[in-house]
Amino acid sequence: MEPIVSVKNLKKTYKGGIRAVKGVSFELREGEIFGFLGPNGAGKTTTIKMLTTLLKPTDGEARVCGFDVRTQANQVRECIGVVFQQPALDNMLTARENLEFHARLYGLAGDAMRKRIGEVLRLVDLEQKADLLVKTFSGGMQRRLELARGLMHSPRVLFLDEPTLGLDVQTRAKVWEYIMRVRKSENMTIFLTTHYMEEAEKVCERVAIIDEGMIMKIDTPENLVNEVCDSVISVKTGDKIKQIKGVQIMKKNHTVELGVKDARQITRVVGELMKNYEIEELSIRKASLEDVYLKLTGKTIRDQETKSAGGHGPMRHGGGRH
Amino acid sequence: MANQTNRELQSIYVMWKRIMIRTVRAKGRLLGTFVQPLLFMVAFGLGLRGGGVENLSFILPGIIAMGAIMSSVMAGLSVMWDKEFGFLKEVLVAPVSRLSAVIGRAAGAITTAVIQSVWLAVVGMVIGARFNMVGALPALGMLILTSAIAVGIGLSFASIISDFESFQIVQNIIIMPMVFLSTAFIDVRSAPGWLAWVVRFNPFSYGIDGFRHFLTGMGGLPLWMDITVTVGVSVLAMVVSAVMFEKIEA
Repeated sequence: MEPIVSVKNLKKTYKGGIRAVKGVSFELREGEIFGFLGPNGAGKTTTIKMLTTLLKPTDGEARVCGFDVRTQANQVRECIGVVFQQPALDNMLTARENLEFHARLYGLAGDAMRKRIGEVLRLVDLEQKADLLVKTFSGGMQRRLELARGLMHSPRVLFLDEPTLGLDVQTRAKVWEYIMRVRKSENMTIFLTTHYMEEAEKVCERVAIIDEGMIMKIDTPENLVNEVCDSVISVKTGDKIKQIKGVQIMKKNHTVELGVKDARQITRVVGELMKNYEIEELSIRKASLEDVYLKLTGKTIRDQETKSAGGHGPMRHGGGRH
Repeated sequence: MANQTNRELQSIYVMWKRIMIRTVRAKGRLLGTFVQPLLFMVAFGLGLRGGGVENLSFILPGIIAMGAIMSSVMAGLSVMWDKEFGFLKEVLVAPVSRLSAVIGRAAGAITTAVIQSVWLAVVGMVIGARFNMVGALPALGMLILTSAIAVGIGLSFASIISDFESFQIVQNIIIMPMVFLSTAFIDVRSAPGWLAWVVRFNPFSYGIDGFRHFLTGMGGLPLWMDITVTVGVSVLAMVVSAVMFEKIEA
């Protein structure tokens, strides 16, 4: 089957020479939910903007629904829905008016439009709020409305750029719930970006790990995790831990993280640790995408966050660039 | 094909509708639309009243056109706001031609400009200006085209400018002088030679002159020229701003 999104060696260099995307290639199968994973500034938003025709690629090729994003922008626009990182609603309009605006841009009018507006509002539980001004909405409600709007015209591919950014934990869980619900009822392909590893692990069928404008790896979350290790033992110790058989030392700060390939080895490794070192604290957890990311890039997403919060990385606030 | 045409028309309609809703909901803007030009009218109209009714009738169409042009340029400002609040992206990813996007915005801005102008004309007549009612309709046509030129300029600048201050500067150093150095306030028949030429090179001059001609019979330029130039430049302004819009990258 022909991939619904196919990207070959896509590049974007901004004016001023910042190379945001340095040649990424990947394909999406129809109906799958695919995640772009990486810290702020990795090139996620830039990639989404190129795929949704908001930004012209510097080089490379991208096809969405079989159409070239460069030369067939209008056909691409017809078959995609987008939820942007930064809210893109008109606060002076009501929820229903925002949806009507969208519907007509896509040629939907009359009863068909009214019916569809009702449907999508129901899907995100906003029927009761349909006629309130959007400026009275909470962040979570706005995101839900944008999700509903992205679905209005039944796109074949839905792009979600950091759909849970800036929301509190409970709201984030809620938004994912809605995304999964939407996906089930509309059966569409979803391309999403996020820097919340746990969330990506839960919802995505396949993920691409992206860092500094390049894709490090693409696979299912399980495969990616299994490839690195099964479990992680974190140890707090003053001693310097030397090589242990069947164990990979992943991080050495005040807490040392040891990746264990095979769950059956855990007792043995813990035993060895207790015997040979002075251990202050020890904990064991299942390996996650976070560990994969650490392994592939040599840094944690959180490191990246604090770094960019310090005002480095020119790519921060991806969606704030106009 | 019919599908695409329908979509373009729906888009123009809904963009117009959005601007209307926003205008009505923003109380400040209503005040700006209906009260501010009245102050101009008092300042210019009554201030220059020396010449009596004749003079008032001459100057009023100029003030009305100025109000229409200023409020049409606001279409550009609304694009700046949409950029700021991210809403512009919603339009940019839609499968709608940029020309429709531009026409929709123009329709909104021009509707406001027309309502404002009618209001000013009525107030003007109450205070003694004499207008030719038969010419009201073609005068309105000239005013709409003149406004379209202003919308085009506003949108074009908004496409390439990314901050509000710069847009204000454009308004102050390009639009304002264009209004003051046009037939709005200068009579080409009595202006000194060089000034008359400046006025003739100003595309706003023709629309305003035609507007005044139809309304009062006091045109200073040939009417056929007023119509030809205004139609031509307004179409050009729409097309240019659609092209500029196409280039916006969000």
